[in-house]
Amino acid sequence: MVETITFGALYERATAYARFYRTRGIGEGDIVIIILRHTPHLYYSFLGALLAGAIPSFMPFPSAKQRSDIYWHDHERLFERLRPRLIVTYAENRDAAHAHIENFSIETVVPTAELCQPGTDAVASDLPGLGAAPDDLACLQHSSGTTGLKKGVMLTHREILDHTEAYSKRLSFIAGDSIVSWLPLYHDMGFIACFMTSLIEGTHLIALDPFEWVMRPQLLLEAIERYRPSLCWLPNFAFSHIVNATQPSATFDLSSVRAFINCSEPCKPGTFERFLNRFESCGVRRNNLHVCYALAENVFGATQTVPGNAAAVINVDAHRFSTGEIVPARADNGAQDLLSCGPALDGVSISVRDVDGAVLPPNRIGEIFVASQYLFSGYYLQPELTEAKLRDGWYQTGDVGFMHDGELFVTGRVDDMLIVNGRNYYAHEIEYLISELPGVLPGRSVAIGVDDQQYDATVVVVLVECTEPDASGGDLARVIRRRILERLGLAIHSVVSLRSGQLVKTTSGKISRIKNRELYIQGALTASGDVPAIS
Amino acid sequence: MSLAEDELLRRVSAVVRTTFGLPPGYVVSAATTSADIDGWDSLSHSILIMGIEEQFGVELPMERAFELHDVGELMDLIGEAGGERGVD
Repeated sequence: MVETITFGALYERATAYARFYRTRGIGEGDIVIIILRHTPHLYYSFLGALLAGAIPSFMPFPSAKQRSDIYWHDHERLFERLRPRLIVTYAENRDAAHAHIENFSIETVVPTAELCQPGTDAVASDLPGLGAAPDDLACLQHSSGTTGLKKGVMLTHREILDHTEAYSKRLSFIAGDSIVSWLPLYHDMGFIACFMTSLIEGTHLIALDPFEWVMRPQLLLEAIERYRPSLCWLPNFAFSHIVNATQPSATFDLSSVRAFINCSEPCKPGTFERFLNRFESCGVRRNNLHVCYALAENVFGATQTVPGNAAAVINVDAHRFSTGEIVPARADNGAQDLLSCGPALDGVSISVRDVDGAVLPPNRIGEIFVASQYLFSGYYLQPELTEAKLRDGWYQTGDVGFMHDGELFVTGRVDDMLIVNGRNYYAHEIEYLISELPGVLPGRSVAIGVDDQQYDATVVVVLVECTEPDASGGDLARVIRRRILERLGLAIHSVVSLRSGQLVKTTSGKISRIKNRELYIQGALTASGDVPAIS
Repeated sequence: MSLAEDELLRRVSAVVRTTFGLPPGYVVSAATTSADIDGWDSLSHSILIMGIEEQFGVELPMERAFELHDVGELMDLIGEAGGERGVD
């Protein structure tokens, strides 16, 4: 089913939401949380909150495999800090909140057609948001990942507008541009790059249901052929998924898209090659494949490759790369291809620093720091965290990379964050959930991210020492998978059960994720039971 | 299990094994779930569904196909969708 929404209708329905909020006494400074599946009410309820002067924030809904009791207990803790005034959600999720949380007292509203019926023309006095000052707080962007650790990135109207101006300039945005997206709005790529850019630039947005897209990624290609959009943002895994799950013989006219922009995950040159090989006959060219480095703390984009030119790929010496230096590949040391994320946007400065905070020259790998004219002002009600991450106008990203010829290359993380299908998970949280299970030696497991060759995807493998060999060959794997899926919504790819002492420790006696990952990839860690390892 | 169900399971098993790179002798039953098999996540699930649709010449309803709990439910869905092609 296709629903067309004009800008006029969008304004009318958002205004109706704003009036509804006002009748409930919701206004300036109040937090409105929006937890909805794909529906136009996402847009109406968000913009309505802005018009009412409230502070809206999108959040993800529980997946079909997640346990709703755990989902709501995690959110209870988060909401104790955020103290939302209202939650806009669907009936099933509202009912789950009441079922699982004793004395659940946050007001909720379920979207209905009546809620967005246009009324009489509103005037500015009815809608305090129309009189907002540029530096007023507009909304919160919540980081993806574990609910309890979610951080509300505070963004002002000015920051969002200035970012869009700079980002559109880099993309050479023109009046005829339009955007196609399957991305959820609780992710900055769907929210800022697609929704906000479309709104601020006044251009068309063709929006697909994310869950329908996951099941049938071909829908995106059919939408491109039908509606002829020119811009499309995708995380790296999505490029692979489209190739993997589209009938090999199917053809589409994709020639309208001048930029497919890879973002939010480590971007791989091999993924671009597979996409190009599959869709070159459909009108995709190498110089249509682009890369952006983005972070919610900078509204969205910090760097972006330049449209019209192919994103730079450099071939570096693999050995020197492992020691933190970038030099051209030599025949005897192995080689590695790396994909550029492009130069910084106007108003953005990038600094790469060593562990002591000293700024590194180009071609040296270190932690990436970002300063910009539209950098966030802090995490909502978390001053200590803000102070730890935001110092002297520089945001410490936790990402690792280097500058080369004025362009940023991102190569990893300083912490144990794993990015899987565009979502962030922390290895220590997965390991903690596993350590509570019977049969697992406490503190003797590691979660690692590895490349799955079959589907060109990053997957999570768990290496776990057991009290006795997992002779059943699969029960432990099944129990671990279920627990992680129910708690975190993450599907563990493989579980390798090991005997006590098989995992390698660091000199300080801690289990080493890095060394055990290397051993696993080399095939040197073999399962003690029959649990099959990744091929 | 009737002969027809047996044949259906045999053909579904073949698609499951191909999708997840399992050895020919790997036993897939109606009770097999995503937790039993390496690499069965929401993305590879859609590749499995594509393979099933191709094998049986059917289009499965998206929402139900996404929320399947085990191979048995997948077999039921194929039956409801009227899948009958698939001479392999």
